[in-house]
Amino acid sequence: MQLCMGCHKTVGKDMQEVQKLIRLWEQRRPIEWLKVNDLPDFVYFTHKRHVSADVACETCHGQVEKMDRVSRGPIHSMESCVNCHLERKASVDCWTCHK
Amino acid sequence: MANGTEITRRDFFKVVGVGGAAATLVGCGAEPPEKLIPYLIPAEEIIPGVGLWYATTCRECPAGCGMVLKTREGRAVKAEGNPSHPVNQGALCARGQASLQGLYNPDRIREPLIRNTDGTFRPVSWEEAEGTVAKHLSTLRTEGKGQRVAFVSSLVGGSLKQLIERWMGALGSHRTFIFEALGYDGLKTAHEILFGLNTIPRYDLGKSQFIISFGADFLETWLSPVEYARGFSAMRSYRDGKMGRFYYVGPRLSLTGANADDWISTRPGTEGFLALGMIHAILSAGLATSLGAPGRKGLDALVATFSPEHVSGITGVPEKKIIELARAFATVRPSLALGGGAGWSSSNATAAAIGAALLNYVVGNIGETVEFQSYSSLDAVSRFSEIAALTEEMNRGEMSALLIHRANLVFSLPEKAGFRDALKKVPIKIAFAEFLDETTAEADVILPMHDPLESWGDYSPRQGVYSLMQPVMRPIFSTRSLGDTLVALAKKVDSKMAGQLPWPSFYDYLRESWSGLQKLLGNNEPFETFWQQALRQGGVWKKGEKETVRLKPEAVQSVLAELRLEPETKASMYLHLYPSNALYDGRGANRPWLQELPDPMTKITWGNWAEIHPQTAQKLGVTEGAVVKITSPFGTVEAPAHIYDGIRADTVALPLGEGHTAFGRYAGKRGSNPMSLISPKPGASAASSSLIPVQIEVTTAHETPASTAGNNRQEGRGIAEAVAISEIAHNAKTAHKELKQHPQLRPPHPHPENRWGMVIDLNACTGCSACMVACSAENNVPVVGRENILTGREMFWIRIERYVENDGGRIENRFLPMLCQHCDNAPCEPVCPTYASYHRPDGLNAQVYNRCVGTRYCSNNCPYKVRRFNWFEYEHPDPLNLQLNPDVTVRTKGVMEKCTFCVQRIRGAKDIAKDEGRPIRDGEITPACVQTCPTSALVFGDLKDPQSKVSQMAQDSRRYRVLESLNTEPAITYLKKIRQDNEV
Repeated sequence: MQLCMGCHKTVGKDMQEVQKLIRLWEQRRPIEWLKVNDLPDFVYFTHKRHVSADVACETCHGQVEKMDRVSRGPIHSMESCVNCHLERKASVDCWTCHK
Repeated sequence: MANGTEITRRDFFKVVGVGGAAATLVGCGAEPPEKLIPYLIPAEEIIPGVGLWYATTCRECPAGCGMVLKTREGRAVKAEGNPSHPVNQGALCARGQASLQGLYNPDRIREPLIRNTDGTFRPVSWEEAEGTVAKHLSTLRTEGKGQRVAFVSSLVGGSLKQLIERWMGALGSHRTFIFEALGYDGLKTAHEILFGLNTIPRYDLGKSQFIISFGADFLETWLSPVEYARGFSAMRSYRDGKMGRFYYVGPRLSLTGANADDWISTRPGTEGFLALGMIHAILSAGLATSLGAPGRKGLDALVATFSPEHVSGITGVPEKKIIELARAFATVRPSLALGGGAGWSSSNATAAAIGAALLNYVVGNIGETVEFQSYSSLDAVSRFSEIAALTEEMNRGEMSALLIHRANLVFSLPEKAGFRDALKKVPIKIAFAEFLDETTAEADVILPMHDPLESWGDYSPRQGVYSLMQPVMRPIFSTRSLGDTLVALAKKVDSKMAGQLPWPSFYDYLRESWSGLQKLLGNNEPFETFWQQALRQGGVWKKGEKETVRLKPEAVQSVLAELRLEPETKASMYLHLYPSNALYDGRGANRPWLQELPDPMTKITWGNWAEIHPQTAQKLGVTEGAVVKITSPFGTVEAPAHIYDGIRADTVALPLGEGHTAFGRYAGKRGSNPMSLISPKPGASAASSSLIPVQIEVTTAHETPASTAGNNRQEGRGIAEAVAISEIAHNAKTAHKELKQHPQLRPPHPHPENRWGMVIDLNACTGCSACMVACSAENNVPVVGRENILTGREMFWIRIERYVENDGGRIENRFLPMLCQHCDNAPCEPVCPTYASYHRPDGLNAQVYNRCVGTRYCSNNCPYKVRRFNWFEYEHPDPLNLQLNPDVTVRTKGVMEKCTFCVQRIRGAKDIAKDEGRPIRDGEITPACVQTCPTSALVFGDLKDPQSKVSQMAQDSRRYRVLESLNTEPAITYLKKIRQDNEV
């Protein structure tokens, strides 16, 4: 939140959502974001390996920049994960994601 | 059923599986979405998902091992040994591993408490609690009653101890006591009498070739068990056809005794006399060559009456054996005698310690394997006689206030010493404590303390080892450190006292104290550099300087006065108490991991027991689990009987640690405290309990001990194998048999890249069970409790099996760590209807929890019995849940689980290697069990790499695989235990 406040201390102070942010900051409370792109607890996913394999953000998350309200991206089921792994010849061993 | 609708079993499970999955999916959708809560101001050093390690010092016992704590997102999740620490060199014992359950214990005192008039406690603010304490102290100070205030603390590190003394001084009192239940009074007294040194030396087991222990259980609790286990395994390692010898003397076969070449069973309390008999034999055979005439002066006279023949009569050890032991001890160089139990554990501990020290002196071990240094941390521990004197003063109403810091005197002192009653006569009792134990429960004001893992501090177990403690995470509850509390209290008492303790916090005091240490060490760097370096490393190490040791001229007279030959009473049964491998003196009793950890010898969990020899049991009509009433002249306890070969027929043994009446949900009301059987008399000069006669009565009650043991006989199955040393030495080539090749039904697994495997050296495994706790901590293995253990539903992924070979008289114990063997032909795999159990290309036998539907076929088919089923949803009461490793799934009810070779660590190491664009290095991956093993009995690595340590060791001529005839092709190779050929 410190990062958000870097700009929003001065920028967009008249916008309703920014005001919410400022109020929380003043109360020293973090924003409780709702997790949209969530995986079950028994799935272990690292962004690092996917980013370094040049998987674009949109591949899983969709085009967030065009979303008014963020919705779940295209790859969020085991089927979609496995298909992509097969296409890219990545490991489809169970323990690649589950452990 | 009509033909068309008939379904096979496999199809049935497919349908059920799909149905189950669909149900789960629906379930998922209905669950409220998880929340993502960002840091308000992100901590600079924290990267989510990346572990951060902090070096600190373990404070679970006086050994002072170095630890590194892995923290994730600001909470500690795993304790490991600090590899650069000179004491433990990277390993940790079971109690050290369980230190996290002290930190996260759900029964910690969460805020300051003040006693109401009706005896209950009410939570108050720190302001109010400190105000109340300060008011009391201020009154006492102005009335000049400072001397009527005493401070009793558990063994604390150098700077904190100094601060307590300074603070007490400012209050006008010098009455500071350090209390340790196992204070080694006997050992210190022995060295005081003989050499005028009230200290405990450093014993170098690794350098020795011949060790004899007179009741010192150095592999489980004695002084510094991790350090000694490492030294012991070095001494017992096979080199050029030889292996060091080890003999254990005492009335009970302890874990340490089980690792000896032979157990020399002596009448209780006579260990020291055996040592004197050996000295007699050494002197009369002229084997004390290193001893000059002046050094020998008086010794002949001292042992004159202890001829081997006479000693044989006292101890019950054959004369020939005594002479043989003596000869071997004097001629195999260098040798080492260890003696004197922890204090309570051995009758006549002082005599045993004197005997051992004299033996070392006579053959010239002092300066070789026994190094006296200027101090050891245990020097500061108050004698039992001092504590007894304080109790007297309290009883006489001479103490106005007692301050107690983390010392459970009510539980740990002999009940007849009357500390609990004496406490009631002290008007003001202030406890600085983490837990509401028996002593804290008597206090008027309780100031809740940080766990050591939340505190700053230092600890120096011996000269040259200066170990630092730093908080590894923010405090969980509204607690404070003792140092900070003392500084704050001084400011509140009055300005004069505040002036004598001017530091803003204990952290500042510690830094100042370390700046003094830096000068002492002759280090000229800027202090900040020195401090940061010490913090990173866990402390500062320097080689200790040896003290020269001379036998005091009057020593002989003092020894003769100390040795009481005949037991005061002739009885048919005697008592032997020993500290528990898991619970130590009882301080571990509130840690579920330690309660559930099977005792290495009896395999009993959750509760205590009384060990009775089969002959005695038969005579008394006692059966396993029958509750027996043990009565000594000082009290009575009841405990379920455990029939045990490793105890003398004239002795009954009980472990310490259980029998708490307070101390939280895990410790409370479990077993009985054997301290009620002990003499309250401090003895001539030591806390060594003299020989205690007991009577045993059988009651009608029955309490089955919750044991995890199966059959401790191998029944010819060749599970834990051993080989005679001559067989390796003289016939290395033929002993190296090729492993039998079985015809295979299917082609072998290809293992294109790696094949992970392990080698377990049974000659190094001592059975200490540290690996079991390390595994539970790393892999979120749940604690199931006594009831589930009784029905065989324990969850350990690794266990230590104990097998007994009894070839008439000499009992040989073999310990075998058993975990998933990651078989190449795994019997569990083909029977799984859902493919939840499958083989990975790197040789691991994997279990996928989210595929498992819990048929338990795999477990049925596993010949090693290493698969565990979650019969229930197991609890992790808040805040124990904070310890859960975020890298490992927490399994739910109905799922099978087992050892994964710590796949999360394998994946972690692979991730790093991939980032650095290199293959994995040998030794880079250490599963939790391998990491913590004090003797490095377990080695992990890639069997595909012929240069790896594990591949090399798997070629050893001692190799074999458990139940190999079943053609399971395990990935774990065991190395046979080595047996000495002949007796001494």
